[in-house]
Amino acid sequence: MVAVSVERLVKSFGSLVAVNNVTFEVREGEIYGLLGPNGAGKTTTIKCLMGLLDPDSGSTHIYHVNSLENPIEAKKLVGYVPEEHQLYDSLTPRELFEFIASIRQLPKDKTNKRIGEMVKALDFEKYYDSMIVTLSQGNKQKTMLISALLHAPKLLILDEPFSGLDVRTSKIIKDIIQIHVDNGGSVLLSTHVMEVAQGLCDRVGIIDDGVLVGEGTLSELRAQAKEESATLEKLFLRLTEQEEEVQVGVDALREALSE
Amino acid sequence: MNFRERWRLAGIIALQMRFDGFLKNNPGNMARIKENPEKISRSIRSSSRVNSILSVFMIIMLAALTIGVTGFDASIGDLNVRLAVGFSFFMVLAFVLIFLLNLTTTTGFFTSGAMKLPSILPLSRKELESLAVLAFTRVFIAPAILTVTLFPAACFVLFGPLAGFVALIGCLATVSVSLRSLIGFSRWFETKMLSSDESKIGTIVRIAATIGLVVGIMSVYMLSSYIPYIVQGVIMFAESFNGTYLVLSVLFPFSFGFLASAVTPGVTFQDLMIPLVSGGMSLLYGLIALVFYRQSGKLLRGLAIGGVSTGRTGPLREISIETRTPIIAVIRKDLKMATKSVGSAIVYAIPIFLMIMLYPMIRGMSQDGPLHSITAMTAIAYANLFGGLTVVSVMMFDTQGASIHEGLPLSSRLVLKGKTAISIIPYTMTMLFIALLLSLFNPITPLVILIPILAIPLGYAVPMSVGAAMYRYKGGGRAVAINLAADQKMALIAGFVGAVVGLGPLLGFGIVMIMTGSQIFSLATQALVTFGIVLMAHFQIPKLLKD
Ligand SMILES: Nc1ncnc2c1ncn2[C@@H]1O[C@H](COP(=O)(O)OP(=O)(O)OP(=O)(O)O)[C@@H](O)[C@H]1O
Ligand SMILES: [Mg+2]
Repeated sequence: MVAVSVERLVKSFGSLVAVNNVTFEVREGEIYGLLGPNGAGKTTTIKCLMGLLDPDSGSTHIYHVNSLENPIEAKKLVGYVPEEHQLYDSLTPRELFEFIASIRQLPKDKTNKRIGEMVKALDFEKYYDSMIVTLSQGNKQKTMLISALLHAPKLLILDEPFSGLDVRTSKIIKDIIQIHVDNGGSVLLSTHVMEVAQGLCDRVGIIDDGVLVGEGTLSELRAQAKEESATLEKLFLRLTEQEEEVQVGVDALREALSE
Repeated sequence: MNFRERWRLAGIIALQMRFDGFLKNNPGNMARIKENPEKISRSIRSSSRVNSILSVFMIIMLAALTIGVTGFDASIGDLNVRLAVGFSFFMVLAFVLIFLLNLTTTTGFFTSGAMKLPSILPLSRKELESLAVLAFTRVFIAPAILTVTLFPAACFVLFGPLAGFVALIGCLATVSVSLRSLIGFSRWFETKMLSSDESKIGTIVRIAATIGLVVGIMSVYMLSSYIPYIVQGVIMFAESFNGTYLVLSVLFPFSFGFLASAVTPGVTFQDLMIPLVSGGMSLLYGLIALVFYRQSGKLLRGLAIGGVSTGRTGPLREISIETRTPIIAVIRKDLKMATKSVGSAIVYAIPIFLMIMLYPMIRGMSQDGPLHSITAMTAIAYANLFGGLTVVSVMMFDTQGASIHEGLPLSSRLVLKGKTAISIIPYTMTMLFIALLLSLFNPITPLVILIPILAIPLGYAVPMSVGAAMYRYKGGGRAVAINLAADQKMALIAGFVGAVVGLGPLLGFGIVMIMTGSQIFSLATQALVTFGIVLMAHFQIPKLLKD
């Protein structure tokens, strides 16, 4: 069974083609990483997949539900943590979770058990009744994460889940992701942190300027780039054709800093 | 650092403050700022320019109107009291204006990280403190300077140098007092708003404060049409009780007003106590204003080091939560948000605001004889316009929660229903208020009172139509957040759609009235058309939406 399928997706903003004919699949039970430099089109791809943007052409499915035609059904299957943190600032996490649980019509006892455990695991009790606007970046991210996990979704879609998190929380989130797939769930995440992708993802898709330039497991990518035992970082730079640019930049910096 | 440099840096901080304040009030822009930073900062700059121009314009208008009414409209009271009340009145208004127009920016001052920027620069504590004060000064220098120059200058020319001088002192004191209150209130407000205190008292305080504030802000914009009424009202009130003037002359800022009036050539008070008392009290208030001025400086300087603390320290309660039906959850969430932010409280305040506006209109119409149906219809037309604005105000809450909304299986239809449910309450209240007002002023037949009552079902159709129009226009049919402050065009569209939808039954009423002259037939037509529109709204509008 396929958790996510994106087929020949095209999305442009005016004259800028943000996503250009991207096709990939996330299989059930795997962690798929969408990698790419800033502005590559990762978020745009995910937004189309969530039915939040209308693509120019192509189709997106979540567990065989067409997310463009039936976004409500699609969203029921997914826990989504977007890149931006626009939470209801003047609510508290408690009020927010109540809202979400009510919208999703979750059974009370099970949900409370889940929340209780997650709050404890994320060391979040202290902030449970503070207004969201007063929370730190990382605590907002935790709020988002709990919100996304509340309904025990089969698929997690996380856009840059590791930004602004401390070591402990990053570790916990990695564990949550791992536990989620161990229990049969699937994960689609976007990131530019190579170590995370290398250590965590079963397969990655590398996207640059809206085009998917490489896809597969680490060894498949190595074969594609004809680089044995290269790190993902090196492959990434090679595939996105940034290797030389980076070298030039580093040389210039070295000179500037040594003065 | 010399003064010019500090002044320039303060300008940057002030801009940042406005920027933060703006973003905070319109979080919808937060997402867009990445895509199009120039456009957003342009719109912020232009909106803050509009704000300054507006304050300047208001102050000029207030000054002109008060002087016009009190100096030269001989139909109201005697010259001496007229002048005294007029002078004082200007000061009261200037106070209210400075206070309310700058409140959003000032609250931003306390929460925004504006002072964080300079505090990482190699500046001494003293320089930082003076920067904070200067930045604050830059934000509301325009209305303050105008207040202390324009009105006193006009008094100087029209009523003599002494009166001008007293007016100047009075205005200086007013500015200082409003500064101090502004700072104090913003601090208090920000702490209260951000405290997630769930006690009933906390909620009541919050709602009361926000309603007072919103009504205040809105009434400032339309005070001009009230000046003659208010001055007349004060004078009439005062004249019916002996000694009121003496009491007034003790009070701030009336002391300054009475003193200025007393020193105007050609003005005499029979009760000599009045000039004496007002003189003494003016001196006292002048001193108090000076103290306030010092305090404001100190409070602002304190900001350079740290803002307001809003964290919560309370006992931890049970973690478990309650679930409800989706529609109830949407409504509850919106109501909670409404009690926690100034902009959102508009929803509650709209009926009150409308009454402030409609009262003089209906009163005016009743002076030419008994009220006809046309009065009721005009009032309802206004109410529909505002009905449109109400629902958009409720839509504003969603600007905050975009990240949550995006992941939730929440249909646009359900969202719109929730917003409509909230808007029905103020709409119904408005119509009941209108009915009440009509009944107070001798309607030609009691049936006139039925017109607003029959309009109540439109409280469902108007928000539904306006909401759908917004979602179509802004989100291509998807439920999106609408922001009135950032997008004034939406307000126009909302008002327009609301008015047009509400016009149908009124037109029906009018046409049948012209054709048959029968109140009963006309009312029946109104009811029928209303019913038709409600049905249309219920069955057709959901088709315009998409998820
Ligand atoms: N609403 C929009 N209007 C116009 N352009 C947009 C819009 N959203 C995204 N873009 C542009 O599309 C391109 C892809 O953006 P996207 O957000 O998908 O990148 P990303 O890979 O997520 O980058 P990052 O790593 O910085 O999050 C960028 O050039 C961006 O500026
Ligand atoms: Mg992104």
